[in-house]
Amino acid sequence: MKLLFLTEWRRYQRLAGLLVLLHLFLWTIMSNFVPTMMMHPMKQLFLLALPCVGGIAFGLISMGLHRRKNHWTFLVHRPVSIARIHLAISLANICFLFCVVCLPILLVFGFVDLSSNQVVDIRHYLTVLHLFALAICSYFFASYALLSPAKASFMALWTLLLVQGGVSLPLWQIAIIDMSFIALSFYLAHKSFQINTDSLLKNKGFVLASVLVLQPFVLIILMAASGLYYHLPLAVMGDHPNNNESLNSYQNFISKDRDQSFQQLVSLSDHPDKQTLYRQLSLSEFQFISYKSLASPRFQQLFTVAKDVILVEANQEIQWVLSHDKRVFIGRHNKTDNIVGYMGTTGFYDTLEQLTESDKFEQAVIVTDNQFLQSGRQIYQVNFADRKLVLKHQLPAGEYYTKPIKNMFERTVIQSNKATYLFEQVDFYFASKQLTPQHRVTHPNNLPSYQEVILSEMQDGFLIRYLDPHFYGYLQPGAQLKYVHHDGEIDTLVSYAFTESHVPTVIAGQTFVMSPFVMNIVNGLVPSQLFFANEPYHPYQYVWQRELSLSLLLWIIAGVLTAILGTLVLAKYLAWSKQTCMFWLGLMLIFSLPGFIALLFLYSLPLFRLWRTNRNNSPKARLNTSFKEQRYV
Amino acid sequence: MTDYIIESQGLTKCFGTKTALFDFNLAIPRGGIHAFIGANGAGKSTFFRLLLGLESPTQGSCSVLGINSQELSPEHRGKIGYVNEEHTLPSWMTVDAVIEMQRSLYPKWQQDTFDKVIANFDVGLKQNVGQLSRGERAGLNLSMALAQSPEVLILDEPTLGLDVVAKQAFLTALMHTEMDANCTIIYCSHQMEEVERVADNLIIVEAGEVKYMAAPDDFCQRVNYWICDFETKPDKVKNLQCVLSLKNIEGQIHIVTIDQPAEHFEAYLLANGAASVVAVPVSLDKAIGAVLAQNHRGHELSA
Repeated sequence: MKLLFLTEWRRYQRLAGLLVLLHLFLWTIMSNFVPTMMMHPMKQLFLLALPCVGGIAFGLISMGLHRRKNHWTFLVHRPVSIARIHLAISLANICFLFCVVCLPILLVFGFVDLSSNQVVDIRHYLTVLHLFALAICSYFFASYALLSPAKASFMALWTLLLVQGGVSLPLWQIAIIDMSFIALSFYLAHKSFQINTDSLLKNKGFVLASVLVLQPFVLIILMAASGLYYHLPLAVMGDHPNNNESLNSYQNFISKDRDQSFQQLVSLSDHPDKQTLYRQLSLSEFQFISYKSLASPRFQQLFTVAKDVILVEANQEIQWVLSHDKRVFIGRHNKTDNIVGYMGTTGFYDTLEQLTESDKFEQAVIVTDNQFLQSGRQIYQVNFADRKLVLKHQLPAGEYYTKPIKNMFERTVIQSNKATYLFEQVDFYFASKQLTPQHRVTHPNNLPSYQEVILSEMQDGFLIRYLDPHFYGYLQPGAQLKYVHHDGEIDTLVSYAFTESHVPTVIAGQTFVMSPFVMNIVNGLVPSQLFFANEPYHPYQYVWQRELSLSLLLWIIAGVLTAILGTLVLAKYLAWSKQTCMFWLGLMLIFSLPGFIALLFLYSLPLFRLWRTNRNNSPKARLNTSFKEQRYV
Repeated sequence: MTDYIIESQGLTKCFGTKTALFDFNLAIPRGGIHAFIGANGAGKSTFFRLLLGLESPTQGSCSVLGINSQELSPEHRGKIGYVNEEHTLPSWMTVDAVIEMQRSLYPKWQQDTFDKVIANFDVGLKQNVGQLSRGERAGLNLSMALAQSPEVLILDEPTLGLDVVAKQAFLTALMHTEMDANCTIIYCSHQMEEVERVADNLIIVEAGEVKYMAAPDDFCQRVNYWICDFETKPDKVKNLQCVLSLKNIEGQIHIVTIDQPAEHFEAYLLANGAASVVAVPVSLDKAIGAVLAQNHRGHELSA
């Protein structure tokens, strides 16, 4: 096995050397534009694309070269078990990927760490581990795709999107996701590396794993399909709900002009100032509190995910960078590379030893306007001139910020999971003390975050409109309009439930109808990745948090029944044993339609052959006919 | 232990709509060199791939060393040598590294055999495999295959693309190597002079079926070559089942027959318009050529 490993390693060692040099050269070029340890969208893209593209390309090239007829025979026809051959090859190729993808980054980080005062944390090195995991998964998925007898296996490469880890997650969750996907991809690659792959589709474990990794692609196909069978035909005929302005649906409401939609809600109110507000709205300005979410900043987030937290002082010459290891800001002179000091929650210090544990930040922070540091519960203002930090606002226990600071209508607005806080902007920026908000407007219900919260300034106060597609429960949209008087009084003008559906239930809840199990994996194991990308606190993230309407439940059952019926037909065509059939029927209860479609993809080739055979009568007859033609005509 | 080292029963292999092997029945006894002969696409390589368990049969089964090909263990694979026409070797490695790897994998490796066989070829041990000529690679491959002390050695067109010198060296090495008496060699080639030189037994494959299996001399005896003068067109003779080929060369009719007693056929020809009949000794080359040409003629007709 050692010699097999060495044989494979020697095959690519020169290429590896060349690519390592090229990779280092790219880092040198990038460091001319952006400091090495500072994240930039281009660098982020490069870091995430490199292991994926590299792993996939290398997996395809390596296995493609081995899979050539005589080369395959030379590789597998020897007195060594096929499992050991695969292990030897995989180990050699993983070493190659480590050298090409990870080693140059480690060298760069290590060099910067040792030779300069730039902040290099453990998270930077951990990012390299994550990228390595990504490269391994990509390599194994590509090997599997190439070796599998079902060409649909290439679609499993979409699954890599879930391993990317583009959102902020605790390290232990990232580690679990990485390890799970490495295990799954290795299993598939290892199983598909067979002397003869003809009988691979008879292996239940292999097919089950293949069905699982095809789910993201099938989901995308199914969702895109609704465009073909629903949206496009209705749009062509001019009957699409988007064109029906009389339809009082949530989607039509949010697409209206702001003044009109506000006026619609005001007109439903019975507030005494209704007429005045209605008139003012036509001349008012409207501002979103923020689309961005404060995605639970935490220490030791991966370098590829967490933005660098940097404050700049004195004509851009001193940079204060948050060190995730030390939990303080470290000030560094850009030109001299000297450390000028440290900054904790209690102020500025010359040496790190002067800071006690209580002086350090409990949570990671984000920076706004180069002076406000916002953690989960506190907002500090940095005053470089006076060398001090002021605690500007602190939330009570159980409450946390969900949006970053935003300035509008001469107010500074912050949103938490329970309320919206309005401060006088002048005070927020110039008062050197902890502030009490001018208004604390509690949320309409127990939702911690809303799709849209819009403010509009009136003569005597503000109108705040809350809007969410799940306002009254899962897939039950609603809106509420609040009137915040300058004197502190807060009136709820109207609460409104959108009862008219924009699209049928089956379309609105189609992702959920497909497979509750798969959707839960996507939303739960890899939260926010696809559907709640901007809403890390969304209460409907998990399946058990959703109250499903009766019609949606019926659609779910219909989906499962369709999958079961389809599986029965498939079992008949492919002459499955009763045990195999029962196995797949059981799984259809969990996987529903996407599972069945993935099965169809996997068995497309055998099914196609059967169809052709049946078209030419029985297989035996076909064989006889073809030979008679050759021999006796 | 079974008497046959290789067996196949009702072996059929289809690739989509193409049928490569059909009801392929074969039993090869232990020992000797068995030549596989057939036109391109006759199914020889497919049979070898099925034999090594690299493909699954559509119907039927085949076994080697008494083990079903689909169930060959690594130990069994160690007893089956295989040399393909491309002489696939890791081109990025040096010759001694390749030898070292093979030696470590095969417990019955015989260095003496390897040294003797490789001596026929001008192969430097420190050379890179990628720098070797095709003939040198063939020699290295054969040396390694023989040094493994295989019970079955499959040589799939090993001299394809070799020059005369390399071919000569290859055949000399193969013929003059002292091998275990139990070693069975399956030799597939389109070169009839090679087959004539090395084969103890002929297996003629035609359109995915075993057509003939016999010792070369026996096979030659079954084939007769006639040169006749006909006064009329020999249409009646042309349609006989025993006639493999019938050609008009410079006014004389050349006929090749199979499994037809010579005295009967001569009398038949004379009775059916032949003015004179001369029997000519037939070489293995011509005999096999006629058998394979018949199949080609069949294809042309069907086309």
